[in-house]
Amino acid sequence: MWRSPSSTPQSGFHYDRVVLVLLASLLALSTPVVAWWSRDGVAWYLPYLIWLGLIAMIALALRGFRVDIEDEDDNPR
Amino acid sequence: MSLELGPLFAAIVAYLTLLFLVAYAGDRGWLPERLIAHPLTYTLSLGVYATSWTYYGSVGFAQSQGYLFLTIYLGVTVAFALTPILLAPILRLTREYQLHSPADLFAFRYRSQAAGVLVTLFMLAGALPYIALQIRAVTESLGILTQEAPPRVLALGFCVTLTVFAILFGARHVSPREKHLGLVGAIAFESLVKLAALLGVAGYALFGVFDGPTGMQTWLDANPEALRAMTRGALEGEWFTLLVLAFAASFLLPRQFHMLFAESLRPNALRTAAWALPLFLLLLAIAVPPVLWAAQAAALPTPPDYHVLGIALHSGEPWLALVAFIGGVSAASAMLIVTTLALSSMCLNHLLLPASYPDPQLNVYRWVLWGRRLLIALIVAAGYGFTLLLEKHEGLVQLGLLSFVAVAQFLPGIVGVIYWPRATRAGFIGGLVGGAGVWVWALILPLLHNAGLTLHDFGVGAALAEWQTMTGGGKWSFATFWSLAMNATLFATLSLATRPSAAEVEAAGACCRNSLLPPMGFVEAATPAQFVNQLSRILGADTAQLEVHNALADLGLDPGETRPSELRRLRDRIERNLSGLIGPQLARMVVEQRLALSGAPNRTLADTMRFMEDKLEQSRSQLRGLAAELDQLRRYHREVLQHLPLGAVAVGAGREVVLWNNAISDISGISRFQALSQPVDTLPEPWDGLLGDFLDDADSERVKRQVRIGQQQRWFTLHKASISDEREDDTGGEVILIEDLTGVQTLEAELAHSERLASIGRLAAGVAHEIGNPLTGISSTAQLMSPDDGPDAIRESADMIVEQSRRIRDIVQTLVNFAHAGRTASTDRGPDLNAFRPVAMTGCVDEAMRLVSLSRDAKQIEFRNHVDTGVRVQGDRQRLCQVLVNLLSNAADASQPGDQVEISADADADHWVLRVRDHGHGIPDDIREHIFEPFFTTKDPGQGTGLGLPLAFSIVRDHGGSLSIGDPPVAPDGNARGIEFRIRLPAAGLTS
Repeated sequence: MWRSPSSTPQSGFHYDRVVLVLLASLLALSTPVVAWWSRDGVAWYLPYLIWLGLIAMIALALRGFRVDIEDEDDNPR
Repeated sequence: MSLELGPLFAAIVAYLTLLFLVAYAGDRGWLPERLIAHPLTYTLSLGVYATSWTYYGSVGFAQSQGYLFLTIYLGVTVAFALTPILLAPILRLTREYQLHSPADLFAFRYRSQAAGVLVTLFMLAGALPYIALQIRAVTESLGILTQEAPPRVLALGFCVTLTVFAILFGARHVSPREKHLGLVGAIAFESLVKLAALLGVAGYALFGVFDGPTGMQTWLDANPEALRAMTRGALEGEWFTLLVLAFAASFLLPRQFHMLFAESLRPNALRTAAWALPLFLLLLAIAVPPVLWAAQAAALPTPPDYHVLGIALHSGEPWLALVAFIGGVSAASAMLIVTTLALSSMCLNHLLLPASYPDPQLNVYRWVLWGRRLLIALIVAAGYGFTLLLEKHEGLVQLGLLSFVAVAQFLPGIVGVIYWPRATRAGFIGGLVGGAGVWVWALILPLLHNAGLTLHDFGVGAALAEWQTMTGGGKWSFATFWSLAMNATLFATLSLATRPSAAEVEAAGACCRNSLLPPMGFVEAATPAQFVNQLSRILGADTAQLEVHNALADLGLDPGETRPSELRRLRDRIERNLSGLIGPQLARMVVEQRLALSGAPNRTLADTMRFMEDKLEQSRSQLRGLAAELDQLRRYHREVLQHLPLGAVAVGAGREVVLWNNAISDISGISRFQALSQPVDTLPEPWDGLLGDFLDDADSERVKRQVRIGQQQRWFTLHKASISDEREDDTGGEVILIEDLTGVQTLEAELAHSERLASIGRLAAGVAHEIGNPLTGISSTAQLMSPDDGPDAIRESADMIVEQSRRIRDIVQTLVNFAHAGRTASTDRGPDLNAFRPVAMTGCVDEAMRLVSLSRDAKQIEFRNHVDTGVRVQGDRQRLCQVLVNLLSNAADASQPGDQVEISADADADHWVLRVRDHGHGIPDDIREHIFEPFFTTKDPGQGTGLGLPLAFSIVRDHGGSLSIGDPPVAPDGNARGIEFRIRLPAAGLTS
């Protein structure tokens, strides 16, 4: 079904989200933030909580994403 | 506590048998396809990433490096976060072009067999230590559980069993295009087993050793150095390096690539896997600290790499130890099976087949199948040999990371595949050779030196010491940085220094999706049968037949297909399908050799448009901003054309069909798919002639045509216009609009019939009078006849009766002829243009005059027929008579008693012009232009239907003529009054 040109793209997926998740990942995993969550006295499971947060961000960011493949019926052969 | 070797080996066999059953059930369809193809099953199958290194080695890694062990999982998380811009494009490429391994991908992108060979050899070299790691982990775990050195034959037995399994479920199908449902199910099952086993052991560590989380926290509070040792690793120099290595390994390791791309059942499952795989890895990783701390708290004597088993043994429960052991077997076997499958496919396509292509007389499928099986066995054997060679000189993690650094060398190449069309094969090969050289120097030579196989370390030790002093990093950051730096520098420099070949440019366009032009040229083979014939010489008859059949089925084409553009698509499809069988380079070679393209490159407008539309459809979700808005606009215009209630056909400069909308599909019964790209002259009858002739006719832009479709006569009006591009000189072709007038024509025929009957009704009084007179004469004559009359008198009376009867018969016959819808030259739904015959108009005028004269009002009008007997037109006599009846009736109605109505005819080029003149009251100028409109009448209500003139107009138009109003004629009194109708009709013999 055709949608008016002013509406959002058909898939509803925005690539900006991927960039945001990448930036968040880089911030949490490869900057001095690493020193913050691995300093003495923090709960041992804090890295896992941060990791879980990243996973949640990925799940949210990829809502509406579809893999466009030519001649695919999306069914296994 | 220790376990016996016999039961443990029996457990391995039992577990692998169970795995066999799961895979078999999957392959046989006993497991619901919905379950096998479920995104979570796909995600679990990607859990093959977690091998025995992860299962056993992570605890040892955590003990020595703390949270650094998390990088091996976090790198995967970052890679999967980039699914839309990293993994999805690769998945699209591998699916579209049937690329089953990294070697296929790089050989396809850089159009180089050498690239494929190099990637395969490097992958093989990188994977062997990893395979050795798995075999060693299983044998060492047996040693831990039995507390004695296991015989080497056990490792060999494990390898043989896995080889058989890999052959049965990974190299079973004849066609590699089919997915291995059983394999996917079995690997997913293995992931579940290892997760459950590791969580079970961690559960015991937490609740059995520590009395729950509080107990563990209490222990940690009492032993702060344990937590400090854990957090230390996050601050060390290897953190970022290992993140990068895990990032690359998550999709470039042979087993990851195989499960992620080659065995992907549903592309969109990748979206779920993007978050579910990191979650799966998190669950595995969260088990590590409790196990490690429990082992430290219990002061276990087991090596840290095997604390998982040590904790299980500490429980005193043999079943927990067995579960922990099976989890390890599961992790190792999954990795071994998938890796050997992936490597065997690469070796076959890029080493074995190019070196010795099978004789066409042999069955290529069978040859490929057995080749793959042999390679699986050889690769497992090589891994086993590597195990013996490097026994116990390196930890589990060390061997795993060796492979990770190796696959990281493909990262620059991947950038070239997805993002950098300018990258060339020279750059890729140069970069890979450089990176591999540094990898061998920095990692493999020290490994061999440590194993005592070389006397020198070739200066690695000194360079590494300097690196550590300079950066604080270790050997992994040293090897990764220098190998990738060398690789990327050579890749970029050589790519910029060399020009990509035409084939590389084409492949880069396909990979980066930056090309919106279809491939050039047409295939010389003109039919699918010729394709089979050509391919048979290389593939063998059976394989060629099957491949062409499959490609035809994939594209929905008919075996009788002859359209050049469709045959070009068929050729491309065959190349893609063959790529899955024998690799992209060989497939291309076969197709280029046997299905050559014509010398003159050609590209039709239809092909270009369809190619662009397809590409835009595929890229829709990637379009942003102005491009997305323009795409919406394009779709809107296309929808308008497609749903136009008129048939719309656009043809390119080469007369090929570019547009074929829904209405014309409905009218013609020819689908859009059948018509597109087809030259109009090769469309099925009658459309070839109808459209072709109209395009040829430069003089008319609108014509009415009658065609027979099946058993039905149809009428169409065709309009055409040129499509010219103002910016270019060349023509953009033409557009034809087709209006189906069959319904209108049918209505007109029915109205004409009603009008005839109405005319007869109006004539009824006159007819009764006309018939009454002779009847009275007959009656009187009969009454006056007497038996006494002589023979002559009786004969005279009889002649009079016969004469009067003939008058009645003529009147009745005229009425009957008029009432009929003209069965001889017309159908129920209008005239049959093909059945027109020469008609002598003078007779037609006489008949019309007779009919109109029957009317009482017309009795006092004098009709004069000046039409010569030589005036003959091509047409339907009955319908032409109706035209004259309608015109004469109108003339009679408008005239005064005693007026004359004249009919004459003049020649006008190849037409006759009949003039019907009366001297009645004429038609006011303001209503002249309305008199041919239906239901327009100046007569009193009940006196006229308003259909007489419109029908006359329509009938004349159907005859290819025209009906118009002339100047008022000059009456006998010298005044111009009344009206003159001009009927212009083609002369007989000049029209069809």
